[in-house]
Amino acid sequence: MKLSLLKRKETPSFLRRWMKGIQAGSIQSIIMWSFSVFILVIVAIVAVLLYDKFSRTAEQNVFLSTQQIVDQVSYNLEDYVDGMAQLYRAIEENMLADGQWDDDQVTRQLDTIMSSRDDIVSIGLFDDQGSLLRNHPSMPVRESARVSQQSWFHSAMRVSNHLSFSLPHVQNLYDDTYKWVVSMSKGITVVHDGEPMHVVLLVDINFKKIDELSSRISLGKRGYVYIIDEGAGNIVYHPQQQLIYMGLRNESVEKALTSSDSYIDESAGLKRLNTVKSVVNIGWKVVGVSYLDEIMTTREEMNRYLVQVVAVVLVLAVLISLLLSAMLTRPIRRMGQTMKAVERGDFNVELPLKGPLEVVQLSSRFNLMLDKIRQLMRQIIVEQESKRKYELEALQAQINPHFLYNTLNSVVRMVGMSKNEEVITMITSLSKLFRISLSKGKTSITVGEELEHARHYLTIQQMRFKRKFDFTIDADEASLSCFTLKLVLQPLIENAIVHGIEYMVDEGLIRISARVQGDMLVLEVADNGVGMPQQKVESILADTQSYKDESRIDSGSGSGVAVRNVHDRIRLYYGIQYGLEFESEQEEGTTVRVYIPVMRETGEEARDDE
Amino acid sequence: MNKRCKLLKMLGLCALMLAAAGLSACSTSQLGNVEESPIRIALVAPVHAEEQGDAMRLGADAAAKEFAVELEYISFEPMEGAKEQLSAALQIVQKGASAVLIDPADERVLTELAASAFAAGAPVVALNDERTAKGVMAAIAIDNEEAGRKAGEAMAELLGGSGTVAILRSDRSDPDLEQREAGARAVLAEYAGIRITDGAVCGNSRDACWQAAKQLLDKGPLDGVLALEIQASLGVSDELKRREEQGKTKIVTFGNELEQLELLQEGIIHKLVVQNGFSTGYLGVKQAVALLSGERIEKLTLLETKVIDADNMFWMNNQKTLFPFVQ
Repeated sequence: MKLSLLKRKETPSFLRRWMKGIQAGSIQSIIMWSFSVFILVIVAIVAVLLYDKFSRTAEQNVFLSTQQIVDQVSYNLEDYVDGMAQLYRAIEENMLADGQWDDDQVTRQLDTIMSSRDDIVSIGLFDDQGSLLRNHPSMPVRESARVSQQSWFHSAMRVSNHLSFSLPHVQNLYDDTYKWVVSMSKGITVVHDGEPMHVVLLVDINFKKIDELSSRISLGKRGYVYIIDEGAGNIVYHPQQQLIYMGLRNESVEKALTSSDSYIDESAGLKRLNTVKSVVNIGWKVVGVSYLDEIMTTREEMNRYLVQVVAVVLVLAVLISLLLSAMLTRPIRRMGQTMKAVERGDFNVELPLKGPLEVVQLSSRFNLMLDKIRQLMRQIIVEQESKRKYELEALQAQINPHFLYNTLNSVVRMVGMSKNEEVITMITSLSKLFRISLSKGKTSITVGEELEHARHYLTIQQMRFKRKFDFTIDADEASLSCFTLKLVLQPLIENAIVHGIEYMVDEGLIRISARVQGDMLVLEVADNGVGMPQQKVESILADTQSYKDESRIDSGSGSGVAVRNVHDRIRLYYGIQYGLEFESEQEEGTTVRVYIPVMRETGEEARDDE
Repeated sequence: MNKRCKLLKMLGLCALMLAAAGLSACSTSQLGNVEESPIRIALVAPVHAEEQGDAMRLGADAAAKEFAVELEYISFEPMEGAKEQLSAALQIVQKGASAVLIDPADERVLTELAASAFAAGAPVVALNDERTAKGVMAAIAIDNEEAGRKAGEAMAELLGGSGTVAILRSDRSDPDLEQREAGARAVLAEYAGIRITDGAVCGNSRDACWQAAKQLLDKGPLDGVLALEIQASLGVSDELKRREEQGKTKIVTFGNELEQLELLQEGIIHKLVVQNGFSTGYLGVKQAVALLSGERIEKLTLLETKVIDADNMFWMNNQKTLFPFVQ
């Protein structure tokens, strides 16, 4: 059961495997084989069709030509027999018209007739007992001839006044000659010497004419013609008559006797075409025999020729398909080699743009792709470098020595002035500030923590600047739990104090707010300081790509570098659609908005791999 | 590197296929050449037997046409004998005949021809001769003993079982003729009433045989004469005609020469044991073709003989054997 199942499965799976094998093969071999097979199939079909057509035509031609030849033989024979019958009538009229056959006039006339036709062997007139009355040429009849027992005499006596033709036989009437003749005989009643008399007129015609006529015919190489007597099937003429009589050869006369058209029989293992045609006036049948294996020989020759043609075409097809496939696959292989080089890490390669259209397109795409890859790689290198720099800077921002020094100075001053309460507040804020700054090395913290950090920073700065400004912090409940990069706000606040508030005459106000706007978290640092001209607003965030590294050396000094740093960090972390937005009016104040995506969980996990 | 190897392999395959195609074309053209130079078979006629030789030629011609071979016929003048036959036969072997059919005049002709033909690689088929020699690959002959038996039977029948019979032999020693004689003697010995007297011997000439017959008949009347050869039968007939005793002494003989047939019709010769020359020639060529194409054949083919008398000589199927030529 299992076995049979397996077996049943085997064939299609084999086929499938084969198909797969073809599909898996190289383009070169696919093109070559399919092209070769295609041409071979076409040529084979054409060859088979041609062969079929040719062989059928050849066969028809043989049938037709045999038929025509046999017809021709039969017509010739009929004509000949007709002529002989006319001759017989002429002889009969001359000899028997007036019942006298002995006078000179008859002799002269017979001489004329004899000399006009060389195929008349002899003319003889016998009485009804078989004794000679008159013959021409005049010769003694052999005693042993037994005229009355000869077949032509019998048939003349049997039906009187009817011209009968005998089968060819050896004439044995006269001395020294044994000629093959066909006897024409007729029983006639004439008035001789005033008395009615029954006589038999015999005209022997030479069989040579008929023999030659028949033996000259050849049908194909070995085909021949034979003649039989329609009455009894006796052989009148056969090229191998003796062999038939000796039993060395067989001719199936019976079939020819009953047939009136052509038929195929088999003799000695060979198929033969027999074509039969009757010769009506003498009661004979002409049978043409042609050997069908001779047609087969031409067929075989043609077969061989076709095989040769197919072989040559196949060889040509394989050669051409080999060249074609090699030509087509060369650029693909070149491409493969180039790709291999890329695989090894060599990105500085380029495919030449030549070859067929598709290959050119593919090559140019490949080149473009390679170009893009190169570009991306460069970009990645740049990004990685800047990321590392920002992180270093952020690290530096965590413990800004300048800020620490200023704060501590303020603390010392306050201690000197014995403002203990303020000292406590300041140091507590400082410590909390640093705690959040460090926040266990994490890069993102909650907005709440960030705002807390901002508050502590503002508290310290407020004390340092001797309450030169005030500040407010508002936040949505929803925004508090969102995560953000840490220390985003501090540079902005520092910026607001240093550039907005410090030079102000009046008391400044810094408003910090956080809110969720759609899927965006917006952090806002607004001051009512001196503001900036529009030109400067634009220049702060102008093309982060193009700024020079050298210009960023004095970070934290207030040249806007720290702010841009924040902007770049955000864009690097969250994408280029996020970042800072400045809005400033001179003498009115500046508002900086930080746009980052709403993230409900720490981005730490997602960023772990970075 | 690998790809180049593959390409080379494929190119090699193509070259091979081209070579194969070329080879097949070559072989067909060779076949064509073979067809252009067909097998040539030579038929060396017997000496002193024109009718028989011509009948053989007729048969050989028929076979040559049937088997698509070329036939070369070598005939001899009545004067020519064994010597001329041998030289003609050797010449045709030298000319490169594929096979030789010969009705040898004597044993020497056969052995020498066979040796020379064997050296040339052409098979020899002996006609009307059972003798073998090295190089004779096949023989077509009548069963001479059977023919002798038939002659003996015919004689006994003619004599009604009693009478005196003389046998006219040849002066040559020919195993064929000896077998004929043995066969005839064996049959005649069975009839108590038939006495075989001393026969006579004559050569291959009508006159010599006439003389021999004369001497034989001078010894006393004979009821029957069995002539083993053609010339002997003609000699006896001549003597009987001279004595005007034709018909009284029964003559039984072998052969189908025209003169014998005339004598048969006239009642001077009474029975003829006839062989079919056409079949001999036909089968000779057939065997030669079979030998040349490497088939295995029976070495000796024995042919039937027929007893012909004046009554049946003009029967349809005997006419063709007795009178093979349409003149």
